[in-house]
Formats: sequence, structure tokens, C-alpha cells
Amino acid sequence: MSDSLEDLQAWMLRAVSHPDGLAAGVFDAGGLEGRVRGSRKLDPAERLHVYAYMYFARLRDVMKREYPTVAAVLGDDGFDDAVRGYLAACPSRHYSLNRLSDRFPDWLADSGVSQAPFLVDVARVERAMEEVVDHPVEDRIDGEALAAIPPSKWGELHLDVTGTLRPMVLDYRVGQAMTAVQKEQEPTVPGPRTTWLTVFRGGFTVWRQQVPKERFDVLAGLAAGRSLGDAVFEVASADGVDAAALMGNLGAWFEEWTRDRMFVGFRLG
Amino acid sequence: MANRWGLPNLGFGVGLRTVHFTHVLEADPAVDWFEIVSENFLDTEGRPMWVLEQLAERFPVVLHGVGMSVGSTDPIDWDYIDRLGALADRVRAPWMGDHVCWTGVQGHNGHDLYPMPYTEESLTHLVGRVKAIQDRLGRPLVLENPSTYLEFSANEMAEAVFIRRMAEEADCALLLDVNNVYVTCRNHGLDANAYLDEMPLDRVVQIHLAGHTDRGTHCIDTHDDHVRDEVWALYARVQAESGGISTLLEWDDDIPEFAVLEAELDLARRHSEGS
Repeated sequence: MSDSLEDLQAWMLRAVSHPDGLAAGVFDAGGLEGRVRGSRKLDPAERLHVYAYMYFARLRDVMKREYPTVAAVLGDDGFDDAVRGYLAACPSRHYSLNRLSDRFPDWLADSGVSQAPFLVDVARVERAMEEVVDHPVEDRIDGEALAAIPPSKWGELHLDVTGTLRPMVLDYRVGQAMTAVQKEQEPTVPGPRTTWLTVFRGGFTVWRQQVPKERFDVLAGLAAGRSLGDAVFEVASADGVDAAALMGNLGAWFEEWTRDRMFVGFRLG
Repeated sequence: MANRWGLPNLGFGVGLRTVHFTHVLEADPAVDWFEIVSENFLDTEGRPMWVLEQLAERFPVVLHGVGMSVGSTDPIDWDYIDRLGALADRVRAPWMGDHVCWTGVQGHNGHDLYPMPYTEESLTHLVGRVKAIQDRLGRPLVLENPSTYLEFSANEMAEAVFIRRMAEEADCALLLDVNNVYVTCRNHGLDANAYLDEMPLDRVVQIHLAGHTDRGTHCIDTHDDHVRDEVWALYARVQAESGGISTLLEWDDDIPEFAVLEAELDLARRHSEGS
């Protein structure tokens, strides 16, 4: 056998990365004969298997760290099957393992795995929590300057929301299952229920918060560049919103947002 | 024996890992320098970069990658190379490198250090790419001998000969991983000392130490345990013959408290001194 260098590399990667295992990979790639030497203790297939095992184990472990709740809900065998399917459909094309599972949430949506609708929401949140880690470090808001703004000017205030904010409208409440997995408990899959959730990083802490729709909408308005007055008015005047309750909650929301470093700057006008 | 580029002996360092971020910033770690896995810092401006920049103010930081795929037949990823050069400049890295291997082909990245066939064809291919990358970066690459678990039937020369010729013909530097030498030689029934005989020590600017797993039928480069006695013996020989080369301890799985790494570096110092 005298493969060119490219042919030999293509043969090896095809053999070790086959979703149905090494035997299928070797068959699919054109056989093992004349390509790999045996050692005193391992035959050629056993030596090649070291790489086949590592291909899957390494990538599976990376994805399990990034999607711990998806993995816990599917169980070991179910998650392994999902990873094999994903890697076959979306093989890595980037030098960084951080990009390996970019498309996993979208793949899950069409995968037909059990609990797929719930798992898609979970995967979107787990992916977002990974992404915000690499966002540039942001300035802290000048708390003293902000506190010095008189209440009469608050309506004109434009707040710069952290670039790490990922607002998400989900079909399922994912928080309970994710918290259970963090506590190494068994996650349960809830029934569908529209949920508003924010993922963001304050300092180096990544937050995942399920919030009321009104709070979500005010924040989304601020993130879209509206003044505080416009963002609040828009939400307060929507159908079915208890404006008085909204105004009553605003102070507590701002206290939490400021504490968690949701805002990184502000301007008036 | 000084290396031919006059690159310094940095002393005894460890690979920087996330679990130790807080410790190395807050404590006064008993290490001389750090090595980073380049790819973990190429695309982040978050906490990893924040930690790295602070550390680079206090310690030399060397870049060691796993994604260059210098032996691949795919086109060189120049965007990756340029990012690598920018990161090296940012942390004032004394040098930067990767492995004598390929990690993917035809656009598919396997994220493993796959062995080269040791043939004239692949040597010519590799030397040309190393030269091109060095020209782009304006500095020598420091390339490491990988642990290998198979040999291609097409091989025309021993791995050590292939690596020596690559270094000489491309005029690049070497990172001699003595644990990989041991693992590879065990897996292929070779003499580790004969392997070292081939290594041009004036081109070796860094040594790697690590633990491995012996499965009986073969060894795996797991980086999850202490350095084994057989590897210490190879290390002591290289340090004695070279007069002292920058030494780096890798520990990537079952990562212990930082104090364990510091104690392992103390052992390295003693083996370097011949005690």
C-alpha cells in the first residue's frame, strides 16, 4: 500500500472518527491492510483503536462539560448516542474545542432524541453560559455618579447593558433541572410553559435568571437603547400589565441589576 | 551547552490550568515560569486572558499549542498563525511551539496529535510548512515529539531520525518531551536512550515532564500522575548532557493541589543537579 500523505491522513481520520466505531470506520475508509504495523503486544487494529477511542472520548468529555444538564437528562448511553450523531453531522472544523459544540442546540432540535424540545432550551442556555465567559472584561458603572442623578432626570437615563446579556424566551422552565444537576441531583423534565430567562456575566460570575415577563421586557428595552422612561412606559402600557405593580417592583429590580453588574455605563438624554 | 538561538534557560515551570488560576494570582507560586495551551487563550478576552495578562507581568509565559496541525496536508491556517503571533507578542512569550503531528485533514479536525508517516515525502512536506510558518512569525518554532501509539507501514526511518532531520532542515527548535520519548519507545519496542542519542541537544530549548498510564500492552500519555522513575532517568541524562534546559511539568487530568506540582518541580531540580 503506498498512499500519498494526504490519502493516508484522510484514511486514518475517517477510520478513527466513524460514528459506528473503528471496524465500520476501517471498512468505510478502505481497509487496514498494509497501512499500520502491529507491535509485539497489539495488532494493527488494536493500535488504531487507541486513536479511535480517544477521538470520541475527548470530544464527548468536552461536550459533557459544556452541556451537563443535557447529559444528565439523556443519561450516559443516550448522551453518547447524541454526541456520536452530532459529530457525524457537524464534525469539528475549528482549531478550538470551544467551538466544537456551537451547533449542538440546533442539531438537537432536529435530532429526534427523547425530550428534544426541553433539551433544546436547556442546550441554548448552557451554550450561552459558555459563550459569555470569553466576552471582554467590561468597566464597572460609576455608582456614585449614577446615584447623584436626581429622580427628576431618571426618565432620560440611558443605561449601557453588559454585552454579555443573552435574553431568551423559552418554552420550558429549565432552571430547576439545571440547578438539580449543579447539586448532583436527578433532574426532572417539566411540562411546557413559556419562560423568560436572562444569561449574563457580571464581573467573572455567570448568572442565569428566570424573570417575570415585565422585568425581561424592561431590560430588553434598555438593551435596545431606549431611555429608562421609554422602556418602562412601553412595558407599563402593554395590555394586561399592572402598571402600579410594575412601578412598585422597579426599585428592587434595579437593586439586583446593579448588584449583579448588569449595567456598565450610562448617559443622560 | 547553550541552544543555538541563545534562548534562556527559564528554570522550572508548570502548565497553567484553570483550576489553579486563583492560587497562582493570590499566592507566591514556587515556579520560575508558566506554559499555556495557546488555543485556550486565542479567542477569549474574559477571565482566562485577564489572569494570563497579570501572570505575564510576573513570570515568563511560553505558548504551547495543540492546533497548528503543522504536518497536515490541508492549507496552513494563516489566521490561526497570525493570532498565535499576536498572543505571543501580547504576553512577551520567549518562544512558542506545537507538536510534530497533524490534527486534522480535509477540513475535519480530530483534536488529537496524530502521528506523521516517517517518510521522505512527509519530511519534505513538513519542513516546507515549518519554514513558511517561521518566516511568517519571524521566530523559530519549538516543536515537540508527540506520544505515538502506532507506526505506519510506509515508515522509511525512525521517529527520532525524522525529528532530527526536520529540525536541521527547517532550522527549527525542539521541545523534548522525555515522557513522550518513553511512551513512544515502549509502544514501539524501541530503546529510549537510542532515541535520545539522535536528538540534537543544541536545538532543544525546552523539556516536558509528565506522568503516563501503563496499560501493560501499551502506554498512554495521560498527564494524570507523577513522573515515573524511568522518565526521571531519561530527564537526568538530558540535563547532564545539555548542561540544563528549561523544564516544564504538565498535569492535565486529576489535577492536584498546586503544592503537589511544586513538589514535583523540586524533584526535577534534584534530578537536574544529579542528586
